Amino acid sequence: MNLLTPLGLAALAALPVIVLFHMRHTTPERRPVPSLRFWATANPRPADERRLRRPPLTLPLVLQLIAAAAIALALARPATAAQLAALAPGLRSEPRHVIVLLDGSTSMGATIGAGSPSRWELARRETIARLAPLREGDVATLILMGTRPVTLTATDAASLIALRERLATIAPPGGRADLDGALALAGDLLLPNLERHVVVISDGALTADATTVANVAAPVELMLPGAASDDASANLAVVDIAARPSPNGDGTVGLYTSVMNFGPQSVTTAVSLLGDGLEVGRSEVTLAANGGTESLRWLLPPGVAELTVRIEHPDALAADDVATLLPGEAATTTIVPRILLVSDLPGALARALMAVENVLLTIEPSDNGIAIAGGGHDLIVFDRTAPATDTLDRIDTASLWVAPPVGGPFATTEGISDPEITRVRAGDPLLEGVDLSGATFGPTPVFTLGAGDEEVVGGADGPLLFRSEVNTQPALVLAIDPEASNLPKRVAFPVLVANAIAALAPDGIPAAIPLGEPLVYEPRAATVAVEIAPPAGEPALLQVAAGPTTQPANVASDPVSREIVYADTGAAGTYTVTERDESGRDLGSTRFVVNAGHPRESDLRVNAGLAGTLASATGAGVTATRQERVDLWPLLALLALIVIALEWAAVLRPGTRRVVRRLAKGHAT
Amino acid sequence: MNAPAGWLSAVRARGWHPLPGRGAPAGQSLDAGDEEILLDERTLTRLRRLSLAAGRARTEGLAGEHRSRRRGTSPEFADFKRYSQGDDFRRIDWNTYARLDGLFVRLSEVTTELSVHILLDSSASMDWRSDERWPTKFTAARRLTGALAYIALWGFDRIAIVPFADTLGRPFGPVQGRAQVVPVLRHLQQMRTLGGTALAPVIETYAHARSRPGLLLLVSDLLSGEPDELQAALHVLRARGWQTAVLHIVDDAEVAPDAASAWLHGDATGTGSTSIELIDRESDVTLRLAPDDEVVTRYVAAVATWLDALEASCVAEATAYARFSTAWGIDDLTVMLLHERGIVA
Repeated sequence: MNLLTPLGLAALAALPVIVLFHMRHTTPERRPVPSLRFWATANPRPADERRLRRPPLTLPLVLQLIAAAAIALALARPATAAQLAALAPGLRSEPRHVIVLLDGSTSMGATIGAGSPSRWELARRETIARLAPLREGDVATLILMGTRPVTLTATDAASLIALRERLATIAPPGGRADLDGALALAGDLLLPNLERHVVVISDGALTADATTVANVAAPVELMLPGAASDDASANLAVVDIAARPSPNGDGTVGLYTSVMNFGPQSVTTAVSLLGDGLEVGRSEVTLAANGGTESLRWLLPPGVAELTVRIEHPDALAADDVATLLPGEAATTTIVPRILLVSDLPGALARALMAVENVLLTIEPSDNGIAIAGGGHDLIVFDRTAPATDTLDRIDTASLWVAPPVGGPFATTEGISDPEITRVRAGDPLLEGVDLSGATFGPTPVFTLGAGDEEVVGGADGPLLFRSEVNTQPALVLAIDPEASNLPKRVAFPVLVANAIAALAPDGIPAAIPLGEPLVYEPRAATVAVEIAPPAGEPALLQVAAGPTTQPANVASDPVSREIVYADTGAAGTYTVTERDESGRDLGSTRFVVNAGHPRESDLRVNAGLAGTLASATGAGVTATRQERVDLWPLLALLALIVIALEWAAVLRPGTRRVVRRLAKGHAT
Repeated sequence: MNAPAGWLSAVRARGWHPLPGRGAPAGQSLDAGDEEILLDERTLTRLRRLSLAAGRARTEGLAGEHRSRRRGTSPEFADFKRYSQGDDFRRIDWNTYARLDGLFVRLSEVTTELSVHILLDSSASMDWRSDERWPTKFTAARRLTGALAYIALWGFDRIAIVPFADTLGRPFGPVQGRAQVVPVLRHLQQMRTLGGTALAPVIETYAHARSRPGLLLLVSDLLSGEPDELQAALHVLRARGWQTAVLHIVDDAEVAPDAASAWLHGDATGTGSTSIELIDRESDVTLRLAPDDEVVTRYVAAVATWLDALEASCVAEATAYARFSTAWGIDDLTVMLLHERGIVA
């Protein structure tokens, strides 16, 4: 018999307290007597002089001591061995906390053979089986390992049932399983005072850091359902795909792809190239065993919107046999930044903006306050002008200011100078590809930096290019007047303008995302909802958080992120993103690709050192195999309850007083 | 001598309602109101066969049934004597003269009555009992007084019941005759305790106030004064010609070690008190003590010494002494004790 919480024995300290309680003198009971004459002579010591009396052997005292001892033992939670379990049927063992680390990576989609269940399916069944014995009082935590771990917890019978039901239908998140992160998370989630157990259910194609494992204060068990030999785990994968212009400068675009072999045998297979679903190329490659890689190159046919490379060889994991590329992203996307140019005399700046690809440019005069403050633009560019104050206060988007007038929103000092560049912020992305050497500038007001402003390019008298904020929105100020400078005649100017747009306008959607990685991007200004359609299944409609509303100047408002996060990228294929405005009208759409192939994830072979590493967990060996024990605290609690009831009955029933007297008499004699 | 038919009905008609009592069949008891049952029919039947022993108490009158040394003219034959000059020749027994050829005169026995004085202790100390099952000492004393009064009245003795505490209370009587049974019992039922006790002064006062001594029955718990004081009072009575009997009413918890210990250690919760506060019923003086066995032992020893002294005082003054427990009632034990101590015959 073990004591699961020996600290509970501290409650035995209540026993002497109870005895002391019975030894103390209580408020005396008042009793009339015919005469005190004999009592006075029989009482040499007044009761008040003695603070304590001899412990009275009374039935209530004995029962209270028994009840207190039973409660103390119950708190200590004695547990019998399994052999004694029959004595206490229905009683349960020590509550457990089982943390299951379920591998949901891409490699779990592999199958051993045709028609056989995938590793994911086997792992899911194993997980359900591991959770089945858990009962009321046990705690189950499921960490679904993908690129981003998902945690599900059940703390009672109902949530355990719900967890099992969800496991029956849950889809693998895909991506790469971060076992180290999951182990660290499990170590943090382990509940004290429970028997703890961590189970890793995987295909074994994982690595674990020994230090991280050692910090897990629980035994870690590795389950490999569906693990197969290296032959059965042989897998080919397209691990890289990219389109780049030909270095020859002939205007052609080349498609480069890499194919790897993760099997123990060398493989010769055909690799085909599909353009918009039609085969446009085919190559035979021979891949050496154990990581042999071959690179393939094709010339892209013009006008193809979607290219797919496919390995024509059946293997354990079909998902990484295919990789897709959208070379014509520009041609297929209609989600572009909407830019408003406010200019009374469009000139060099307007031309530079028109030269930027994938933007929607609108030009309005400076007196059209309605258009300026109307919203719906991702970026407003002020060309040598500034709006009226009431209009300025209503601007709720990023802005680019070129040669803002004196008296505008940015502070200036007295004087005008012909500046020369004396300071440049090295490495600033605004200056990437921008060569300002030899640039001359005309008369320029001397601006002063406000609190929080950041100078990028500066002259002797003041900043020439600096970052600032207008209505809590980012703003970029180019102090020089392009019309009075030779800068527009140089390549640096359109590049600088393009960099400024890239910095201020929302980022676009990446063309490709690794399997399981979430899509994070900021929709355009007028977008209120984004619909993302996966390769298979129902599309998801994501609401965009409302942007900063126009507030009076004296009302502070915190900026609200409009970024959306889409995490269900566990399936390889092409995803379609559609943005919608308030009325539900499509504002544009684009696509991105999720490819399954990865040099690490496509390697389905079991990591031979994983089991040894996991065995080094701190709690390993403590209870490597669970010893079934029966917790006796309910019996002891019941005993205490019965004894307390008897004590009450003894106190309340007059007849028991005679028993008490007899006991006391027997004790005295 | 049997009770007249319908006597119990007459008793009931005067306001006595029977209640079932201990040892008495239902409907055959005389109750004293509330829960106090004084005498039941079976007890009354037994009491009718008894009479108070006159002893050396002076008897007088002719209504009673006590035998007297005086000879008179009653039909009750007592003896013969030789005729002498001056005797009433109407009482000469001529049949004897015919047989013996001598003159003999028939002598008759004269019965007399007894004056019975019952001093009933009505002090506050009498209004106490240790157990709900037993009556208070006052109730037990009234019950005993009622029994003695019944015996006396049934024997045509004259009785007076005088309650006392620190002074003499209003007496009931003297009354005589069986018709006084109900008034006596009703009076006893209506009696209440009075206050503190001054036993010896009360006895002496009563003795000095009566010129004709009789049988004085002192019914009390005697918790007043010392045995020496009681003996002095008894001496006064004896000197004035009274025949006295001391009927000591006690509760078992006062005198019996086991009962005293049980009463002291018991409390309402049964958990045992670490201390109790005793309150004198007469003086309201309090005493706090720890109810342990040592205290009980000393208490019982003190009480035993006191009882011995009481009995010795009574013996010294040729006074009958009998101790009655409140747990007894008027049953065989009480009657036997009265017989044993020569109080009834």
